[in-house]
Amino acid sequence: METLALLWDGILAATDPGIFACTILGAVVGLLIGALPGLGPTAGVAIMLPVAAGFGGVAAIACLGGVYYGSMFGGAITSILLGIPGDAPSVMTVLDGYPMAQKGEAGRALGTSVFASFVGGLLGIAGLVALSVPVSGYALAFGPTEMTAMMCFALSLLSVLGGRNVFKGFVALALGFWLGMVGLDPISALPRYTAGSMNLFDGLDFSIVAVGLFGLAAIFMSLEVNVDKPVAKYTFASLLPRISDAVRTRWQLLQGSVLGFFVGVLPGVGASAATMLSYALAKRISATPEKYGTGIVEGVAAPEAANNSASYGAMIPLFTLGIPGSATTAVMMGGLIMIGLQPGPMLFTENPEFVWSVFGSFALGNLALVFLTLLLTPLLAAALFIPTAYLYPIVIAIVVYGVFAIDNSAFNVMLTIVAGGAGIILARLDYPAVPLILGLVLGPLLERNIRRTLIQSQGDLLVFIERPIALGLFIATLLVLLIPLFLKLMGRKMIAADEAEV
Amino acid sequence: MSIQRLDQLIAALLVIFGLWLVYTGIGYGAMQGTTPGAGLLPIIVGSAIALLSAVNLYRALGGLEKLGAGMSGREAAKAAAVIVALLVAVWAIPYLGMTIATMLAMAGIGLVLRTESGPRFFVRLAAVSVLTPIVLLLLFQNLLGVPIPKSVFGF
Amino acid sequence: MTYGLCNLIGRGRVAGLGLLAAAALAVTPAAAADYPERDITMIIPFGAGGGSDTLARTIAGVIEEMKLIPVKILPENRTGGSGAIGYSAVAKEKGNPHYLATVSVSFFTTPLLGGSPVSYKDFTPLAAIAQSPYIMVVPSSSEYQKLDDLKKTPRFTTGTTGVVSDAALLAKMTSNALGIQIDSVPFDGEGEVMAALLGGHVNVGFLNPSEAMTQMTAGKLRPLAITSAERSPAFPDIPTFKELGYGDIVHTQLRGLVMPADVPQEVVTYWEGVLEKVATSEQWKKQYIDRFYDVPDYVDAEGFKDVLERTNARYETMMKDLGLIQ
Repeated sequence: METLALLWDGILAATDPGIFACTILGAVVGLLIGALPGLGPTAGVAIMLPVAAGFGGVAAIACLGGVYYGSMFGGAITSILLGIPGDAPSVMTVLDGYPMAQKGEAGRALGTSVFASFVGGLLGIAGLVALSVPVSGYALAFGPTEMTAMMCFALSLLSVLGGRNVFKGFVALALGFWLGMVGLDPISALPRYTAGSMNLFDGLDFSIVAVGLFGLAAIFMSLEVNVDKPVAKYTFASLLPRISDAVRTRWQLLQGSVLGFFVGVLPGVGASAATMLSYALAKRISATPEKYGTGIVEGVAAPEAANNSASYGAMIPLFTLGIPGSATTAVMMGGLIMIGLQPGPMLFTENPEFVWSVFGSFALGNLALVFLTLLLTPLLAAALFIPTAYLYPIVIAIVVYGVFAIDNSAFNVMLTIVAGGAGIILARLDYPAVPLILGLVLGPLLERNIRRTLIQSQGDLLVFIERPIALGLFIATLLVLLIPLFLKLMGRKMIAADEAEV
Repeated sequence: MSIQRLDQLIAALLVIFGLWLVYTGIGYGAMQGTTPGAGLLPIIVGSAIALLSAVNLYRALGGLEKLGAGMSGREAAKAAAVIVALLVAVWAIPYLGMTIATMLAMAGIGLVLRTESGPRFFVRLAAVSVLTPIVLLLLFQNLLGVPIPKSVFGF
Repeated sequence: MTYGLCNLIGRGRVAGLGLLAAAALAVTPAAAADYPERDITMIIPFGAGGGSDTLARTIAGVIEEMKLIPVKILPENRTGGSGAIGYSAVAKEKGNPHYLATVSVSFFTTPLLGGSPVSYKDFTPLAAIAQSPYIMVVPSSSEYQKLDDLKKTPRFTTGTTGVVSDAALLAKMTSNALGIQIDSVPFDGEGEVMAALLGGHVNVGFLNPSEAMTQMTAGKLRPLAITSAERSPAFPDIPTFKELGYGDIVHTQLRGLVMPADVPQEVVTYWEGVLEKVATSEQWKKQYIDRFYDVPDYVDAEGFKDVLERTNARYETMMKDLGLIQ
């Protein structure tokens, strides 16, 4: 209860007009940057850093936080309307959001993403406020060994996302692993598959591939679609969000928020992996998994709730331990230092009113974003009325600028276009794009953590089962893989997923 | 090329690609002392791609694989035209600057996608193609501080 | 692009240096009297908000605040290629005294690993204005109270950012000096290294002063030794490796500035003057030294050049030992 009182004081402190204005500024900028394809929270926070540092004190961090969670709201917009992931964590939103928009339910999908973002944000803040100390201990318990086990568990859940032909699904996953290897290998310092180009030395940015593979490929393949039948099937009603969807997706919202929070806390894992896990889990435990990917609100709710709560989870190591667990929080830590605070275990004890005011601003900003985005939703969805001969050039131009801005590199724009071209071939030949993207995100995490573990243990494989958390996760992995098989052998069809997929 | 033929071709190429990954993996070194080296994952991934693609090739050759309709010639031509227009525009950025290159690419893509006839279309497309890059320039350069490449003429 | 053009038109005076005549297109140096005549571009090869970015922007800010030069310094982030893209952009401006960059670990390691077409030889060292030592720490819960206690255990692990880093280098040096084995586990960022250390997944750490300070004040980490030649004013209680009897282990990161190769000597002298004023200023102390717990120290161009060469040699030896390069 004491915590609640502290948070309430924080919220009151954050209603100070100056602080509130900075919060809203951050949230709006975040919304915009999140919606621009390619640019995500890291770029957003970095861009706002010099501006925000000038505000000083609580206002500065309230503003940077606003950019962070604002971009989580914004990422869904282009994912749903155009099938172009606005930033890395919103890739999974494309899977059901874009089909919904194509069915004429863009407003419902956007509305669901707003509800999901809000619920995820709310539960994330609750977790940040109430659980940060015990949870930071849990985050530290995850070393390379536990991470390896976690990634194996993730991959076992993700097997449901494979697509129709299981062989092609695994080829796509392997191709994703390969793309993840491009660049300087951080464990041995060997450059791999860079073709001697320094543009590839740092590896492929996830957004570059995802924007091309999902976004541009979707555009390239629908160049003919709207020629004969104009997009007139949208009605005004379909542009409005539906409150009932929030009720319908309550379980996905809850499960996505909790999962996103705990995955987000882990240093180095990040919101993208959280959304993938959340989507896969929702599909895995659903009674009707075959509907996922065809455009249902549950498929939008699960990842969107996860990415928002993950963004608050990721702030826990920063505020309680002074450890930036992700690129975005590393930049936020720069912001804390710039305003003269030393992030770390002492922050809570030495500057409690600062911390609570910042948390208060998160709560206010999250609420404000709901109204902002709900008001914007019909307006944004109306973009689909624009004939493709005008809309597509505009969208492609935005993609080009957005991808360019990731590293100020035209080379990256080339890569995105090539990925778009490759995406057409993959889609036409039934190679699913989702496993490829998963491989690109999870592959490096898996490879690096296995190798880190074995450096620590000097090649001894037993460590993987000697540590309790790792052992538990490996057992869970085996169960996820074996139970469907077992049930199948028993001649029962309890988990329909495997019938549909294998 | 029919979609089936393309499927066979890609599967065959992937078998070769997988073998190449194994080859490069051996070059990077599978083990580094007692721990896996930079080449271990490429070897595993390469073998998987080669093996699975061999299965896919067999299925494709045997006609076991059911695929969608593929792309019509017209559709493929449009997609190719858009991709080429984009690549040319990106290639031209150092000379024309990003703003002009984007304007030309947008106009080009719009013409490829043209659905209606009459002068109204050209006026609108021209307006869209000129305005969008300017708005984006203001947004990215002035608001977000991204150094947008300029042409030799200075804009 | 436009830049090369302006240059050719803008400055055609010949100040006559045989050295430069060789480079046909190179810009002829301006006499010190009217230098600098236009704004200086400061290329930051890393993203906004990181350590290099903060350093570069603080230096630029202090110079501006103290009005040490008549023109502006324009910081520009050019990221990618582990620093290679930004540093190449500077090196390309051979002989042009209107480009600046700060040095970092990647300044040495990326070229050595073959990831960059330019190396430290393609730059003119100007001066260094601070040095950042490393502090060897163990978690407070560990049994090791002082450096020599480590000898009781034959093997340790430490976390580093990247394979070839100062932490990895120091792990190697400490292993040799103490007769123990400290294996480096490469992580993807300083945050991950700290998490691994606090979580007990690695046993020892070699940390930046500001990282170490935070956790030491909170009582989570215990310092064993510092890598500077003398005790740091910010950490008067931490003994140096040198005074503990390991004189070989002296390694700090110099915070310094470089320009493209072949800039005239007058320009170097000019910047030595500017940077000396920065190094001794109150602003620099307040905005950087006190914030990051660095050691204030001015090193002139000649001395800085020696340090760059020595640092490069250390990394090169280490990479050869690891079998990364021949």
